[in-house]
Amino acid sequence: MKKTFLFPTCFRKIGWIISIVTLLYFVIGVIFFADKFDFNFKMPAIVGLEKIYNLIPEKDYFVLAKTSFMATLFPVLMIIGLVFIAFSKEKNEDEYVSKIRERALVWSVLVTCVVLILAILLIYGFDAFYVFWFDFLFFLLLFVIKFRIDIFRFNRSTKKNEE
Amino acid sequence: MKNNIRVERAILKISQQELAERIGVSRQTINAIELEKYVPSATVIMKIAHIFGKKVEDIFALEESDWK
Repeated sequence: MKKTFLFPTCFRKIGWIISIVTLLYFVIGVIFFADKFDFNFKMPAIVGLEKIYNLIPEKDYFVLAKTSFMATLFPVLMIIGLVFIAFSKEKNEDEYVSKIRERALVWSVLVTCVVLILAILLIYGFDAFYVFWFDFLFFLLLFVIKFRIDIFRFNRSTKKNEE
Repeated sequence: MKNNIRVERAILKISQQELAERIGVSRQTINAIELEKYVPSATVIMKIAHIFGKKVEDIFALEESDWK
């Protein structure tokens, strides 16, 4: 039977490092440097808002778009980090671990959908733009927490029932 | 689904760890199967029966709730 693709076990550590460093940069930046930590840079983009002729900027294609840490690097690094944590093989990977992963995945998708619906209904204006990628990060985070707790319980349950 | 893996294991005098290694699953999974918290795949069921040298029906039995 074809197995589901998962990253090698060592990717989980890499994921933790990427996520924690990114999150620490964000938290320390917000607490001690207010808005100054959010640096700007340019990225080659398919769709950008480069030409500003009117009050409302016009769309432009294949340009160097101006962006910032919070708009680009933070979500990209957090998604990469959390995906590595969430979808790396366990040391004792087998069909029961897959079952635990599947249950955690269904649970976190359902909770995320409820939160997303509430956010769509309750958040309007420019902040609504952030809802979708924040919600995706929330989903990954929720899945990681649920899966790790279930795996911890699974490993502990065996110790209680030593032969 | 009920099973008597623990009894069969005692007859053959093999530990959960040994059985797990021969089947290719973790020791925790064997423990979950013995405690009837988890019903394994057909592949694992057939491997268990093969190791104990018995028919699947001699080790695993359906319960009333499995038909609902």
